[in-house]
Amino acid sequence: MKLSPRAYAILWDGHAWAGAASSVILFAIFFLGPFALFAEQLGPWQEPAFREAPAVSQDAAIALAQRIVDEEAVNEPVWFGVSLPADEEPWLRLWHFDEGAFHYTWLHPVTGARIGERSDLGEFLNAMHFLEPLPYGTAIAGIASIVLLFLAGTGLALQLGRFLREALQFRPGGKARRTQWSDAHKVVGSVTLPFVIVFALTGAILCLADLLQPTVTQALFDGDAAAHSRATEWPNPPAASGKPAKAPDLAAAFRIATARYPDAEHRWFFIDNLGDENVSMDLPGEQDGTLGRYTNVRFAGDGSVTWTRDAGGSNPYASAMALLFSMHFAGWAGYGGKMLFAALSLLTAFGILAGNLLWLERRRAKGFARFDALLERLTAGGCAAMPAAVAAVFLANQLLPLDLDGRAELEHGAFFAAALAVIAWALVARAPARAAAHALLGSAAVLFAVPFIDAVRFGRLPLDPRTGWLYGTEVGLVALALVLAGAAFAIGRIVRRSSASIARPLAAPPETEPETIAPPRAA
Amino acid sequence: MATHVHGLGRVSAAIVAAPAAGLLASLAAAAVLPASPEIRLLTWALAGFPAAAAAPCFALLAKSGARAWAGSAVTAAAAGLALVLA
Repeated sequence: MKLSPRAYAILWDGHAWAGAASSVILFAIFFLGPFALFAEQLGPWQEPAFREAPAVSQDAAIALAQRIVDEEAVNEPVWFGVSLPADEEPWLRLWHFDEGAFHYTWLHPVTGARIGERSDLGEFLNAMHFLEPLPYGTAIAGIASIVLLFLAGTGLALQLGRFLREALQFRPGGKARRTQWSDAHKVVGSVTLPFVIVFALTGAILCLADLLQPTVTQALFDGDAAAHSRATEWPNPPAASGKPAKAPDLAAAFRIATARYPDAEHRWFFIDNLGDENVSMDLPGEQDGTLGRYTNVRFAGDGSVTWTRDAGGSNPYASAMALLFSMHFAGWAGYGGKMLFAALSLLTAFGILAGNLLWLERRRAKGFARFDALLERLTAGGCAAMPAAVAAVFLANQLLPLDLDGRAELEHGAFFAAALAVIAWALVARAPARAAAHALLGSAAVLFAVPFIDAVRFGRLPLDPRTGWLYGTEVGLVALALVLAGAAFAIGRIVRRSSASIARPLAAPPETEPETIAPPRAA
Repeated sequence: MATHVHGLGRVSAAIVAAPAAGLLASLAAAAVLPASPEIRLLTWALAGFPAAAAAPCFALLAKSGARAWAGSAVTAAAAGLALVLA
């Protein structure tokens, strides 16, 4: 089955324009994907206090959490959360919800010492993966996910009848650069297609569900928000009664949740209406190695179980969403699977970039229009901006004094300043590709240096496998630095070749493109 | 490759009207589905965003901008009616 020449031409243009328009946003989302996958594991990197795990039993940690919750009950917060120590977060975390945002404090499980939000490196990069810190960012990420579905669908339609050939065809030795980018875009697009479809669909659901919730509640549940929340298997907690009451018993709840779901990790206590008679406490659980990994047990103030959620969900909607979200977050796969997902995410980012470069090479042959020149600069600046931003936030995390007020916000500022600086540089540079290559090389140098800076600061050996999560972070940063340096050298080589071909105007004309943009003949 | 002249009408319908019509149509289809609320919600969740992504293709493939807009408007109107009556 093949498309008609008209349909092929229209969908080709639609695919190209939609891809070009959304490319920088999609590149940023996929480039930050690996950091989102390993956000929790960045804990000991971002907060040096976590590097020496205090020895504390689970019972002692729960007893300490109980004391904290009892004290907090007097204030009757609308919402309060506590998490028990874990390998990557060996202190207790206390969550508050103030002025529409979550804030947290770390509590040493032995000394009771507290430290505030000194760095949220992992969580910030995870949030940036969904564009949350940007104005309307989540909605933009949701729309970008729909555009990605459009790109996947049109890309597949364009490959009808030739999918296998194009999925395997790569001609790096081809003289025409656009042939190389075309092959790279199609091979990467074909290989990552199932992954991209799952991420695009779940990304759209994750980013747009809240925005569309009132409409969906009205249309499918006759405006009954409680019925909607039951269908999603996340029923709303009861409203506060206004009558004071003591805090719930954490240890008893923990025993019940652990007995009910022995394979799940329980270390979070999320409490609505703390200090009120209608208090409601959730103990979510996570089961690694399964597709439906999230469990939950909800308790009333008297310790009775008011609701449970089995792993995998108990209705078709919850089961399907548990499966899809588990695939999005790679929760089913362990660290090996997460690394595979991280590699696929970076590969997809490269595929998006290859699509833009294909567009630019095709347009270059016809003569650049103003949009093409802008796209060239945005592609160079936008794609080099993310590595620079990541390098800047990791460097800021090393260089800013630990007890500096607003340290986390300054780290965010370093991220945005670096990204904007690189974009601005590419917009005004004489050769935007060269500017991108320099930015990538600078980012690679910073990312490579960061583990050594950290080692010097804390008087330890860099890249020491005995340091667990630190070693994992260091290996990841060095590997990323090498990839970026390789990309910088490759771009530099391409720019030099282009300069050489411009300097030799009488050289042989560029190779005509024999690849696959020609539409199929009408049947 | 055969060149194709895209009219502003088709392109604007593909960007503005078609995705909204696709979302609305999938919501209406889920609302009138004779199934449990969970199945209806699942149908919407799995079909809504793919419909919003597929609808621009139909708008772009329409024979004229007027047809693309009319198709989107008729789809949205029918979906709206179904939602009111459901």
